[in-house]
Amino acid sequence: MEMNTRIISHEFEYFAPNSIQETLILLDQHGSEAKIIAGGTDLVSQMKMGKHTPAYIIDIKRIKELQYIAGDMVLKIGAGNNLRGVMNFFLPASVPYAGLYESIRSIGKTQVLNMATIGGNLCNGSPKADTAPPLLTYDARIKLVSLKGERILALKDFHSGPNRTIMEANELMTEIQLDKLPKGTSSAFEKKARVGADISKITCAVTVVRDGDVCRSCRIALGAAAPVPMRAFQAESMLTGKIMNDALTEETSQQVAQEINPPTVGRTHPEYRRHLAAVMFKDGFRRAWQQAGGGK
Amino acid sequence: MERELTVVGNRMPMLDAAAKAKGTAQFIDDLVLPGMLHGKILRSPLPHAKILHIDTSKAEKLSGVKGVMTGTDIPDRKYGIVPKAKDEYALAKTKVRYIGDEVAAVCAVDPEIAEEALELIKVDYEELPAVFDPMEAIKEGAPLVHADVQKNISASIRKEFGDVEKAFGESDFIFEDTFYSQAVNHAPLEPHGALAQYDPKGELTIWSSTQIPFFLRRNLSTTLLVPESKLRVIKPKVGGGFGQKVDMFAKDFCACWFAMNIGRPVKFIYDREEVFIGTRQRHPVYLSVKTGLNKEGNILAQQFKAYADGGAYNSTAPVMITLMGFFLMIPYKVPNLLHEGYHVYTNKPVGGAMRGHGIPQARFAVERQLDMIAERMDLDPGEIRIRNSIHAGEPHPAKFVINTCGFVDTVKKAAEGIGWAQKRGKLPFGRGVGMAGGSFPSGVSNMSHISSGAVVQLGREGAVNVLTGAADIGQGAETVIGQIVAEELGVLLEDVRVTAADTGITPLDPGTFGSGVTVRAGNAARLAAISVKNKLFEIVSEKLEASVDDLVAEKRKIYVKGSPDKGMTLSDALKAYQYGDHPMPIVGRGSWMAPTTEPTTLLKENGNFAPNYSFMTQAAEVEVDPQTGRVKLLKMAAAHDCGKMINPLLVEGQLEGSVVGGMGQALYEDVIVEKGQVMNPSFLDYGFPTAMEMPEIEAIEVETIDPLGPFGAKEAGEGTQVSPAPAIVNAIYDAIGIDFMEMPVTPEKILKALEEKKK
Repeated sequence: MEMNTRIISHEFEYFAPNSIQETLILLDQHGSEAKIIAGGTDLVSQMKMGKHTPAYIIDIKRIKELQYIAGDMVLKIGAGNNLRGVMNFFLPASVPYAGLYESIRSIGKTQVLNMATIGGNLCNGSPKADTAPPLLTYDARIKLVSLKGERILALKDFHSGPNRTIMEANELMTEIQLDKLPKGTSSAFEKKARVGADISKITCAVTVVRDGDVCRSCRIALGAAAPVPMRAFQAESMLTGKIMNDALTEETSQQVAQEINPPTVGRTHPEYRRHLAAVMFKDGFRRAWQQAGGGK
Repeated sequence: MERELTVVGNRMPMLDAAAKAKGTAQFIDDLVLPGMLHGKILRSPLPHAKILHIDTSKAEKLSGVKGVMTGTDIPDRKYGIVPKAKDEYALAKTKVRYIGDEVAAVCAVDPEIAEEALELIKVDYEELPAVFDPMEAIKEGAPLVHADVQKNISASIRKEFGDVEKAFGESDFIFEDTFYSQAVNHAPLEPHGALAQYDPKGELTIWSSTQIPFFLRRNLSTTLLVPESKLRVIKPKVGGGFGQKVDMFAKDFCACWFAMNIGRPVKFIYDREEVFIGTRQRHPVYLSVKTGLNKEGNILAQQFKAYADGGAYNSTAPVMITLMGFFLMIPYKVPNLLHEGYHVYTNKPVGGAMRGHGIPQARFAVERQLDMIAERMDLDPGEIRIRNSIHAGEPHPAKFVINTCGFVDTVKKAAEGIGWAQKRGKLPFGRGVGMAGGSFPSGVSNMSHISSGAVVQLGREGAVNVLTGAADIGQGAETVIGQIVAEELGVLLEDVRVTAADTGITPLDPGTFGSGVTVRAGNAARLAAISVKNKLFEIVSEKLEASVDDLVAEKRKIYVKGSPDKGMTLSDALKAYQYGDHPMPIVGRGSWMAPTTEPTTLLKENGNFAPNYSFMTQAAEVEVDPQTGRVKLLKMAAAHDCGKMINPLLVEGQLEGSVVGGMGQALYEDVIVEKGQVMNPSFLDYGFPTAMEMPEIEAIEVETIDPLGPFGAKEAGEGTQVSPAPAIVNAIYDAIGIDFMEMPVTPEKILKALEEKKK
């Protein structure tokens, strides 16, 4: 039984480095016994529940080098940006990235958005992370840095299981990279939870590239639908280059429902999650499709 | 009383609103005493087990630990809020009965060390077979939660009014349906806490987050073996209770015990998980209702059966099953009723008083069935309610005395508020409206000798001091009492200071339960204020050469009725009083209990239950998304006859709270227990409705002036909670044509039902 005692009962040493370099040195020394804290919105409650008992806490909240959003052909988002900052950057006027905006807005709570960071949302590794599905549909890449060098990999290869990632103990996520999206692109995000401002029961992001009535491509990703945030590649392939009609959307939604791998434990029945996945894909697709058509 | 009221009836912020908004109000967790220690409780990880041995030696040796106690250290005295149903030790002696049962306590110099020490206590258990469902627990051969309670039925009632069998024989229609109402948690924002201090003279003071300071004093006295005269219970600010704080808990007892034995102040604050698991919850109840009616739709007879899942201990068990049955007799005229209620032990968290106390579960069943009956008999749900309403002054089948009853008005006004005539049965698929009625006692009269006292002092400078035992837990009792006194004395609310709920200072009061505070403590305070006023008026009447009966006190002035310029200021009146060689301050005392008849138990003979009764109807409009099964409550129109509203702002607050509580129970909340383990004991996992689920709420006044309430007031607290949940579930029927017989109505249940309907 995980008991949230409201108390972090174990002792730990606290570091607040001022630069990426200092952070990497600390990680090199203490990585396997350390936890990085940014906003702490996930980590602190996990520590109170005894899920993590790190000997070292490395606080990266103050590192300005991690807080930027810049670039033209490749948009680079520093991992240390708080979610509110990212959300404001992608105001809904930014049609291509509407899904990311909506995913952050769905988290709802101002206090949380001011604290939580986009890097933290991904590095926490939760299959429910709200920003993961839209980023997956943008084919986002992430940059991981250590004293030994850096590597850039696709976000879809980052999560390795429930609450697990492929990140090494000495690595720091510094950046999320998004390629500029082609003309006619739009995206949408759908989320179901019991109540507003709640942890997701299931989420779905859809990004479409539209050319008149033709769907050039469609990318579909879901959260809390499998052990890791996932893409529904087979469903996507059903739409590539197709003239859109309601029957095709319906057929694709059934494929989305088939393709997910919902957990069989917990209080939401897997069949209900499949049902929701289909409904949410349809809703998300409809909205993205309309936005991409310039309001047609 | 022919003059206009100037304080009573006004929308006034609570006396402590500013302090709470600024964060300066002092709750238990804000209190710090020199040398204070922090306590923590070790709880059972098993649902049912014998305690073979407890080894505390390692915990005692941990640096910073100042005390460790177990059940073997404490007197062999059980506690319980109902004297005849005491069944709980502050710490388990030989056996644990649910996951969360208290086994040991530690106090240390800080909470972290106390927490660490808990992990060092080694308990050897012998696990026993456990039972988790009341329908299993009553079977022959089921494990006994308490060895001396056969079939695990710890309290039962069989009460008949009239002749039910005969009336069913005369009925044209008979309907029988079964329902289930789930466990929900009160979840007051302030978790439970206690801080105790012992002084060398042998006096023990405890600050506790309690709704019942005087009952707590009695329970502490009998379990600690300390005379009540040496015990002082102080209630600081309390951040909500909803009935969960109507009880004693291990934290109260252990804080006192450590303080007495160590000589240092000790504080316990429960975690949110402990509040969910180790305090109280609304009883889950299996209900069946059989109703007989004539062709016109008048109820002739009702047979009601309830099995309440009480969890491991009694708490309020006998009261809960009794209330559940007696309040089937209002707001509808049920000439013949048979109520059978059973409180059944299981190895689960303990049921207790929760806003409405058994009545919401019964009302869910009755109000749902009434709608189903209306459908089967082709009657409008509003019409069947109006047709069966009781009325003021009519003979009552259970001999309740109903002096005022606005029920029919509440049905009509709630219907109007929700647009019933245009909407019921007429909205597109997925949208619907529904209503539910209810009624509630303003405290009790005949079930026990319960009374409140008050002292009012008026000083030379015009300042008023009120002493009342009433326990303000955030509902605004002190404000209401202040308004009543200010109105009676003709001063402003800002002239009144209320000192409350301190058993060492304030007069006796039973506490906040049964929705009786405004009527009972309000009447006591009013009597005390009248006594002060009479003394002052005697002097003023001489000065003004007018009869005492013709004087009016209002806005710091006293004048002759009808001639506002013939008068004097309160300040001059007090000067005259003092210079007339009358002793200051002027002190008035009052005490009040509801009129009773003998014998005072309604279990033996029919009679009146409460000084007066509130009546209400809530009407809901919902939208059901047939794709996802999600329900959105769009609007709730809440009409409540609470007599004269002392403070409409506070009544609206109660109504708003009731709508949220009703939404939670109807749509979202459920204490999920698997093999005795609560699976969702946190705000995150439990899933309360949030600000984002709030519907439009229309609070509708239905004022009656009740002869027994202070200024005509009746209750407006717990009663508001009985109708919202069934109103929502009734609206879901109107929206999608499906009758749900259990709560919560989750999206999954709705989708499943819609699919089955298609087949």
